[in-house]
Amino acid sequence: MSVIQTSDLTKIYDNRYIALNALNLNVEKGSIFGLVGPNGAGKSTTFRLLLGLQKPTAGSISLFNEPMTLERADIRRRLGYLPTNPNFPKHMTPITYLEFVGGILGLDSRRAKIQLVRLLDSVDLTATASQPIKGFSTGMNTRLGIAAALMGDPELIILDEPTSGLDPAGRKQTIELIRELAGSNRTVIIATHILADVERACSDVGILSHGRMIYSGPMAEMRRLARQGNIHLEIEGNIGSFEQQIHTLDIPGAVKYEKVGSEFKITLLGTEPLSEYMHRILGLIDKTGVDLHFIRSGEDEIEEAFLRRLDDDKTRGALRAASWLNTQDTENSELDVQIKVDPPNASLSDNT
Amino acid sequence: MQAFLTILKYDFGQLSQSWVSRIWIIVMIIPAIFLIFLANYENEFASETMAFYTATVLMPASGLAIAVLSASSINVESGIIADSILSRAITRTEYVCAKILSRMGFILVTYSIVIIPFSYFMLRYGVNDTADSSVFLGWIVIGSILTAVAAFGILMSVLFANLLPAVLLVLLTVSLSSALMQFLGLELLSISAVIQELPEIFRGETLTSTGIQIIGIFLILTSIFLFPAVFIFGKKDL
Repeated sequence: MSVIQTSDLTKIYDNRYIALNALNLNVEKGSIFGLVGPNGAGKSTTFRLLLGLQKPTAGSISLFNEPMTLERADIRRRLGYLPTNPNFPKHMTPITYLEFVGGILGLDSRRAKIQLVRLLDSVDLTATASQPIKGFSTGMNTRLGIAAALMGDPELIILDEPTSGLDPAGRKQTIELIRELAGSNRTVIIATHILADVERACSDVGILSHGRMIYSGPMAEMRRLARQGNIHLEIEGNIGSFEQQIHTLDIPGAVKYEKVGSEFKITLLGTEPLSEYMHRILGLIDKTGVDLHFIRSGEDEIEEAFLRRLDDDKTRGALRAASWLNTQDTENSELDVQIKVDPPNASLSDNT
Repeated sequence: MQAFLTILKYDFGQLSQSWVSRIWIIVMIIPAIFLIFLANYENEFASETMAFYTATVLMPASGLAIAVLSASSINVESGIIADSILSRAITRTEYVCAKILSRMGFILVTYSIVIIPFSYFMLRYGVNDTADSSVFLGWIVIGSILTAVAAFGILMSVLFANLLPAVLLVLLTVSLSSALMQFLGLELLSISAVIQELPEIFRGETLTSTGIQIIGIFLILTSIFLFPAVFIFGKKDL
C-alpha cells in the first residue's frame, strides 16, 4: 500500500523558478525512504507540498490514498514533520512547546504530558526540559524537532535533514531512532545530502536533481548498481603491461580507469555482473604476471553512484537541450509555453 | 476546536507579555490619572476631558500600538507558522481566525480595562455633563474605530512579509484616509471628524442613530478587511 503518491507534481515559483518538475514519488507503507539530492534539488519543496504548506503548480498529491490540499488538517494529524533548522517560539521551553504541539494535535492534556516526558527522555533533553529554547544549540533544536514530530504518534514521519547539526553520537542515535520508528509499522521519509545516513537507515532511495527524480528504487538495488563495475586494486610488477590490456576487460569504450601510482580504480560500464568483471580482472592479473596487493569492489560506492547519476543527468540534459534546439529549428511553429514545458517531460522516461 | 483554542491561548499569552502592550497600557494610564485629578481640582466637564483624552492620548497611542500588534500578527512568525503550527493538525482558517480573535480580543480588553475606570472616575470627580448611555455609545464608537484599524493591520500582516512596511502602511492609510474623508465631506468615515464630534456624543447631543451608523460603518470596514485576510492566507504558500 502506498502512503505517499505524487503524480507529475510540479512547483514553479513566481513563474520564474522551477523547483519541482513532474515528480512521481511512490512511498510504500513501512518503508524508510531517503530523498537524496544536492542543495536546491527540490527536497524541501517536495516536503512542503506533501504537508500542504504550499500548493502545487500542477500535478497531484495523495497521502494515505486521499488527496492532500492546504486545508487537510485531518491528514496532517497522521503526520510528523521535522523541518531543516526548525523554528520554535523561542520564549517557550521544551515542555511548554511540546504541550503546545499536543494541543494543536488535539491530544488531551494528560496524554500529552505522558507523551512529552517519554519523548524528551528518548531525545535526551530531559535535563534541559525547563530551559528556554532560545539558548539551544542546533543539535538540541533538531532533537526537540524530532520529539515534536513524534508527539502525535504519527503513521508517516517526514524528516528534513534530521541529522544536520548533530555530533557523530547524536547522528548515530538519530539513525537508530529512525530505524526503530519504521520497525513499528510507520513510514519514514528523510531528505538529506548525507549519503552515509541514507545507506545506514533507508530501505528505499530517490535521487532528486533540479526538481526531477532521476533514480527511485530499493536501496539494495542502488547498492548493486553502485558496486557494479567499480573495482579498486593495487598491483606491483609489470604495471605497464596491465595498463595496456585494461581495455580488453569489456567491450570497446566501456572501460574507464584512473591510475595513482600502482593503484587502479577501474569503472566498467558494461552490463555483465560484478563477479564476471572480477573474474576477468583476476585473469588479466594472472596473464600479465603482476602481483596483487588488494582488490575490492567499490569504495564510497553509494556516493560514487550518486555523483554518477547526477553527472549522467547533466549530460542527458545537455543532449536533450541540443535535440530540442534542433527540433525548434526544423519545426519552427509551436507555442512558447508548450516549448518550455516539453523538454523536461520528455527526459523523464530517459532517466528512470 | 482544541487546536483553535491552543492558538488563541498561545497568542493571547504572547500579547500579554509583549513590551508593546505594556508600554501601550502605561502610556494610556498615566495621562488618564492626571486628567482625573485635573478634572477634580479644576471642575472640568467630563465630556470635554474624555474627548480631549481620546484625541490627544488614546487615539495616537492606541493607533500606534494597534498598528504594531495587528500588523505583526502573522508575518513576524512566518517561520514558526510553517514549522511548528500549520504543518500539524490545524487548518489555515482555524489558525487565522484564532489570530484575529486573539488580537482583536486583546485590543478591546486592554481598551476596556483603561476606559471603564477612566470614565467612572471622570464622571465621579469631574463635572458630569453626560448621560450614561451616551458615554457608553461614545466609547463603543471609538472601540469600533480601533477594531477597524486592527482588522486593517491584520490584512497588512497577511500581505506583507516584513513588519515595518505593514505598520507604516497602516499608520499612513489611517491618517491620510481620515483627512481625505473629512475633505470629501464623508464625516462618518473620517476618524478625525468622529473624534471632533465626541463631546457632543458624550453629552447625548448627537442622535443615537448617528452613533449607531458610525459603529455600523466601522464594523462593515472591519469585515471588508478581514474577509480578504482570511481568504488570502488560506491560499498563500508558506
